[in-house]
Amino acid sequence: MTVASPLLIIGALMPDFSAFIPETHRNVSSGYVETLIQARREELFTGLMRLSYPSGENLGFTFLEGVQQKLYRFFEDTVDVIPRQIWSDTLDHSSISVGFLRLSVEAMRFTRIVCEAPVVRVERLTLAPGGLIDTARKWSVEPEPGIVHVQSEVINKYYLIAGHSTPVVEELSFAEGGVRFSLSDGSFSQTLPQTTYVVTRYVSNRDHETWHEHGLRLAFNPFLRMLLNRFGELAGRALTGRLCERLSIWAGENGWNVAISSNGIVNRQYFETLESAVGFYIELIRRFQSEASPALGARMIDGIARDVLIKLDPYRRELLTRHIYSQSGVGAIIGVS
Amino acid sequence: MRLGWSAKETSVRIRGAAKIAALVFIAIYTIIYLLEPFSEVWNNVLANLFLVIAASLTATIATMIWARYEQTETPRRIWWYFAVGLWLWAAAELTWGYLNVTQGEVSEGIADVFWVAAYLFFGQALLVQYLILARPSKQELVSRVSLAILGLIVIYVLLYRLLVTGADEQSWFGAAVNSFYPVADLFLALIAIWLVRHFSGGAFSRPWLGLLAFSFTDLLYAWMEISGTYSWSVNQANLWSALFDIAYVGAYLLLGLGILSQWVFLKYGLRSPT
Repeated sequence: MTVASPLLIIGALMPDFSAFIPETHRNVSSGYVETLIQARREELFTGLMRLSYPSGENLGFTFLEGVQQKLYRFFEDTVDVIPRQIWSDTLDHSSISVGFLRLSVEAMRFTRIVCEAPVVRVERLTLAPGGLIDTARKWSVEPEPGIVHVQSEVINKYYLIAGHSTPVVEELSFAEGGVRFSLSDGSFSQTLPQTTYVVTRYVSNRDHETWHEHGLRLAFNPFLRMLLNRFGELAGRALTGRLCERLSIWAGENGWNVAISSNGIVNRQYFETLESAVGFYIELIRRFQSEASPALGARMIDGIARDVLIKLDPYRRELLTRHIYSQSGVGAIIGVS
Repeated sequence: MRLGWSAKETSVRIRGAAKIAALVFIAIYTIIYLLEPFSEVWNNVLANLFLVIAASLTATIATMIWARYEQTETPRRIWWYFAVGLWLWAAAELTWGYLNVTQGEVSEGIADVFWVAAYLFFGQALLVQYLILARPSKQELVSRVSLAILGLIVIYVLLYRLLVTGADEQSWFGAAVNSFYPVADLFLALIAIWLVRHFSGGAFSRPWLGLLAFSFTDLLYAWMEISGTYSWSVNQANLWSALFDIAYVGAYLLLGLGILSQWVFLKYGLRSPT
């Protein structure tokens, strides 16, 4: 069964992932919470820590390799990011219930969008997989990004559809064993079992920095892949391999969790802010320029970047130009915007 | 034997050693050419031998670049054509040198077959390089190549007419061959300028800088030949022809150094420091 016209809910919140975190410790003191946090630090835990109070207040800590990243307070309609300075005051309660959800870095990025991106409206539909294919295709070309929650008796999945014909759809699948992150495309619903699904789409605002960071990451990969392919066409595969190796070593030495090959970038870096992501991409492009220029010359490298930018679709071109190539010292890429 | 040098150090040392070797090579050639320390025959043999060695070394390095690329890579095609062209030049120098030693004055003939054929391979190499760089559409490619060929034919015909009807009238074969070189050199020089401009500042510009130097020298020789300056200088026994002949060997060495620079970069460039 397909419900053609969605039910609109205004002023709603992104899905609360913390609801899926099973409570492992009940009514513990703040001192014991500190002990639990310390244990997570030592085991280099990556994921979400849920803190629930008898008052109904819910908090969520994000951890990345044992380091606490952010503390969120979940309200009915909004999520607050609690400043680091007042973390200890916020945690100072006597009866706290705690749970943990182990996540991959990719799932952490997904979670960040869920927690921080605003929701403009919520659409709720009941769809069969066939109807979901058409609807998802429609959503994937719309300019507004969103999170789609697909739920049935046995399925509980979230999809991050960035819009603007972004070919990649990120998927978070909640099951008893935990959370699994995977990459898919607009036809993700083809793999779903034949049943009726409750589909909730949380439409967000594309101007929010979390979406910019997400869009930039997805745009940067094909851009770098084409850049390296072009370099390879001119300089050969051996030099391209060495260039990728040098870029990967440089990234590793600077503490960035990325690997660069001639297929592009495997980006496992969790950026806390758009600014830090932009900073990394700019540095990587500068590094590419300085490493590749001795072979082909600075002029050629700028020309290659310009040609590759022109080949991208206008949305991704604009994103890369605005955030990377409009910065001083990146290169004279003119006439592509 | 491992010398414990980093890739960068090895690269710098190889290029440095090659430059010194080229200077020594040109110095010995100059001494033999100007001072004639041996008998006339031996001086002639050595002078021709040096030219063959310079041409062969250049062709060898171009072959080494060809070998560095994998079979499916497009630059391998460029360097195959380029290496074949350079080997044809080496064959031409050998043939011309042999004839010069055994017969004295060499007129247009078998050596020119190698020289002229080489330009066809250079043209093909440059065409492939152009295709990779500019990625023209089929229409653009046809129109630009047609325009270039048309331009070259016009210049060639004008030169040919000038040679067969000029004061120093040449045979149709001699005029046809001697008109070809300046046109072909001009073509190579223009393409080389275009490539140097595109690769400016990069190691990949150096072979084309070498080609530019060679084209200009050869163009100068063609002009000296056509204008009769070369023959006049030889008859007058002044320095002009000597300077040109030394510059000609130097141009081979410059081309070789440019090509070597790219080979060194392909082998040692962008390596992590060890």
